[in-house]
Amino acid sequence: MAKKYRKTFAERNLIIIIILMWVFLAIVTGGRFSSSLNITNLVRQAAINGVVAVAMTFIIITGGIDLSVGSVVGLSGMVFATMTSSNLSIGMSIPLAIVISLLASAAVGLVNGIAIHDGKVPPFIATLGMMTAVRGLVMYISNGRMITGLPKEFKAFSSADFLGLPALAWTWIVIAVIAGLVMKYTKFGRNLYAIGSNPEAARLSGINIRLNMYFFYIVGAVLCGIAGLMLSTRLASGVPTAGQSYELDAIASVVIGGASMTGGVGTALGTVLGALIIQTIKNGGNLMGIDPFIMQMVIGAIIVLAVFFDTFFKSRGRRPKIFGKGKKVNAAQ
Amino acid sequence: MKKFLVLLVLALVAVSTFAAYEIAFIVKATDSDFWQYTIVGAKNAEYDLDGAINVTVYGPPSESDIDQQIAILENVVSTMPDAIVMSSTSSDAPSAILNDAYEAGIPIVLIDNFVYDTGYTAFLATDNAKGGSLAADLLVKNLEDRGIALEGKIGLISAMAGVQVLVDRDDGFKARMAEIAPDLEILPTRYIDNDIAKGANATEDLLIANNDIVGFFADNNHSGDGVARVIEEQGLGEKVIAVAYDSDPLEVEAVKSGALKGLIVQDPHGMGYKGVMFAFMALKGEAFPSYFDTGVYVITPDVVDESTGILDPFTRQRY
Amino acid sequence: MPEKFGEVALKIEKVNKEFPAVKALTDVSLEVRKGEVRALVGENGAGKSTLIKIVTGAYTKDRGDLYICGKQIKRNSPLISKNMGVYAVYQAVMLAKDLTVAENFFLGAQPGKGGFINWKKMYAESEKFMKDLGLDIPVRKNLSELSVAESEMVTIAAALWHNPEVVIFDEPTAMLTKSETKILFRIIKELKEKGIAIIYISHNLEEVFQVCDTITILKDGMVVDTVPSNTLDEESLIPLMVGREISEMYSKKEFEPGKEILRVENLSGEKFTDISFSVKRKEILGFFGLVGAGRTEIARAVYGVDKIQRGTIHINGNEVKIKKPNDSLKNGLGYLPEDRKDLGLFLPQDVDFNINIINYERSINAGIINYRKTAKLADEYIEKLSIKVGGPFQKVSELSGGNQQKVIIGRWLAKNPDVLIFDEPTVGIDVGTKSEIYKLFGKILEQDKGIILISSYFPELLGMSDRVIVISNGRVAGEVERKDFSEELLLTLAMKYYSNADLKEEVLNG
Repeated sequence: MAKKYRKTFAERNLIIIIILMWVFLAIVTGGRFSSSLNITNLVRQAAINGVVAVAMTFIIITGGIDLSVGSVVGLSGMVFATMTSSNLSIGMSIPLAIVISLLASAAVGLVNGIAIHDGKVPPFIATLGMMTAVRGLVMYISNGRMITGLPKEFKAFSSADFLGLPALAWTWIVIAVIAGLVMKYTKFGRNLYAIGSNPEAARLSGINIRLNMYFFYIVGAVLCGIAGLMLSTRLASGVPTAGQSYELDAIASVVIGGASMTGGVGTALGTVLGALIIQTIKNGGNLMGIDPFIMQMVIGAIIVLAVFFDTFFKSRGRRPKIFGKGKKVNAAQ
Repeated sequence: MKKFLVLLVLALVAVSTFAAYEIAFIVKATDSDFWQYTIVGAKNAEYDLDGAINVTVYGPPSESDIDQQIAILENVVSTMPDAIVMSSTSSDAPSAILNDAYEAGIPIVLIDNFVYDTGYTAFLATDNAKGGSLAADLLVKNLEDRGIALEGKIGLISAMAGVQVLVDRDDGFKARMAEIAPDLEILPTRYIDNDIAKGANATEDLLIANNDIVGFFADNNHSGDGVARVIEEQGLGEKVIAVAYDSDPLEVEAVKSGALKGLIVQDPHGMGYKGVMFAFMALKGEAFPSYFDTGVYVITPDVVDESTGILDPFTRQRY
Repeated sequence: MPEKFGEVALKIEKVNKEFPAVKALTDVSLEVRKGEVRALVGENGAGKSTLIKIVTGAYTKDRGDLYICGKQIKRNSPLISKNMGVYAVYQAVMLAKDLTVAENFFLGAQPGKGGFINWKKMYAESEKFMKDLGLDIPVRKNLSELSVAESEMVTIAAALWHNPEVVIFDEPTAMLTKSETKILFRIIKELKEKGIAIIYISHNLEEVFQVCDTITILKDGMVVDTVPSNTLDEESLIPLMVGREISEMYSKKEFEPGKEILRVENLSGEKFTDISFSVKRKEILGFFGLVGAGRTEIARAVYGVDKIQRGTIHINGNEVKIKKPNDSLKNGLGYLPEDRKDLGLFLPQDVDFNINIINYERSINAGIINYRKTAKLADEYIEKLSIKVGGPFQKVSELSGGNQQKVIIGRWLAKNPDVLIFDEPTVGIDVGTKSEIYKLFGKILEQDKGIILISSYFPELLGMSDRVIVISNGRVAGEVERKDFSEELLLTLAMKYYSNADLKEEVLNG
């Protein structure tokens, strides 16, 4: 009885919600929302936060949290800008500078992993410290100043299109698809869920918790590093404050996407949908000219409502069409 | 030996007490170019006075850390400096602390932002409303030069809600626009949390929502960066006239490329330099005005190349 | 019902409860009188816990009536049932862990004036109460500092503190030592004399016959029968619960033991010293010892969970270095911990995940998991262990406790290591499944494997083992061959290295 990939409860509902929102917006904006230019804008706008959110998904599934994502976004962009800017003396080639930026990001992830696994520092605290320290490092590297003079090819990436979608959106899609497949179809992904569900049981199942934890935090940080590069092509510069407070949007996307803050639950697709919902509200609000403060209230309400409905329906057991037919199921003793 | 040490300590104390005035220079934030420029001005003043003063710079990492700036101020006051030069983020929060210091005989020089209910020695600031109206003039002139009719819509991108200097700039802009181009409708303000990417997003969205946008006003450097980035990417330089406030390297590039038609630039270097100088003059008992408008520059593409000293005061760094 | 009991304390009439895709209770009716000890027996998933949760207000019933002390409860909630005098003692301690024992008693009603707590009074009263119950537990300690058994006794005491009308015990002895169990039974007797109605749920039928007056048998969410306990015995009760005869509980297949696969020499760790033993193919090696003797610790050390200080482990004659569970898995060693739920279960995941987590190498091709294969494997063990589940992709959190246990057992049977260590494999498991597990032992041995069986349950240990190693205070006290098996011999050996006279007494009395 082979089963196909089954969308989770959150994923199924989010797809419906997004479709409803898009139809609604297309109607009230007289088609402006659904114009191909706007859809292109929308996915590009969501892409950078979306990649950070995918990174956050890994960490939240382990049962942790990573508050340092925004600072890593800033770090990677600033390292890249410093290495390549024509205003500065280093003048490194783009590929090499990308590698170095991502290595710097990975280093942050490794330190997080060591502090959390070996130092037993709660993830919230460890990454809170890291968030502050790395932001300080970014300021130190840049002297608190913006760095311009980035290579032309690099700047052009943010406005480049491929098959009708912006290159930034493709980057996000490719990362999300790979992340989703890795989580679902590889041993590494299964270890992620095992550790997030029950670390002690995972250990007894022969899973090397240390290496895996290092790996999750490094993967998360490298993805944030990629997001940092995406942001600096979008900004055409290295900005010392880039990425500030991105952790909040990322956490919101992951949670709306159906992940549980206690770990073990969450999917890349859910997170992508969560990020799309948040960006749809922002973009739609701008298009409709809604008061920005009201938009803020709406986004806040949606974060809480999404989690509320998820737990509400789960606890009531009202999950239509979840079980196979025929066999009698023993839901609770 | 012991005697020698005691003498040494006494000598050090004497030098630090009598040789130079301690001037505390408190900025709104250390993470932005603007405040870095004021610091250059303050440090240049220190350099020029050649040992007569010691400038120590303080500031929270970000402008949103109002309470942190207050804490810094409290700590500074407790060290009893000879004078305080401060750009306060809040117009009310530090009143009591500043007033106590002022009563205790410490000269207080306020720069950039006024603080109510406190005694102060001098106040140096940009007339932000005037800067806003200059932006309006520049925008309309550009439209007229290109023969674009003065109708349609103008987008207003503001870095943050609830910041007085930005409100002044926006109000000055709107008031002047109503005078000189009453048929141009100014769209409701979009706030972007001082995030360039969000500024770009908001610009893209406004362009989608309104196909009759003829101009943008961005009220600080990050909002200006966001607007400029979109105009550059979409190649709208000749159709949509954007004017922005403040300057940073990205904005300067945008002026050169034509994505921004001009910058309204304050004189942060002068603010820092003159603020420290006024404090020194107060300590020396010399006369100076209690209010000083540090003025704004209008940087258009034709003058941008000669304005390096204004746009990047780091080039004026003397120390 | 016999006349010796008082009036009806708890009455349930035609209660129904449905969960998605399953009917948990169908027209269940029940009457428990004051001073009566009523057993609730049935297999895992028979509906015992659901019924209790409806009585305590944790679940709402779909239909039917509930009366407590003659009063109909239309809308129930945990608070309402408590106010009506219904207290349940769950296995999981449900008190505030970071408060003292005394504070837990007085929770929400601390003595004192004007917002200040009278600690002296609080401690004095709770100390006296504990003493009256015959419990020696310090009331000033935080609950988190107590052992599991101690905190369970506190849970029981806390329930009694509130002068309950009905007390529900759900598997109360699972975590208790024999002497603690004895105290519990004494307390139950006292409650009964005070005229309190008691519901007692246990898989341990021996205990049921020891303490209960009447027995209600549940099967598939329906009441099979309610009978006085003296009209039945274990043998006649089991078919009623299971719905079929279990011909032979301990169906041990006899094999000729083969070559030695696992040999442990002079193993020392934190809680044990100089442990040596060996397991042969087609052999079940039993491990006996008192609670805390170090059996679980030895198993954990061999499996690579805990650190080894000295000693060697040989598999198939070769010395192997085992530093982490992955090493032992690679060397064909498996370990099924006693605390399966906390140490084994991945609660948010599905059955497929839980069975395959150590078996993915079977279904991975070029690094990609083939879910057709994993589901096939999961289905195989769902079938073999008759796990009640909608399919391999159902979440384990939606299964009953017993079925969750089976999922973990399925995981290890699928792994099929050369030597599998079972740590108390049948605690909390119903008779039907128990006998199936024992049959599976035979199948494992048939494949030329070896088993280590850690058990405190004599019938199981003596019924299934070929040899028994007795651990006493962290040391090997002796090895007993099957022909010499006797409870007395094992117990004597188990006490060999304890000097403490009290402990001996405890064990003998237990």
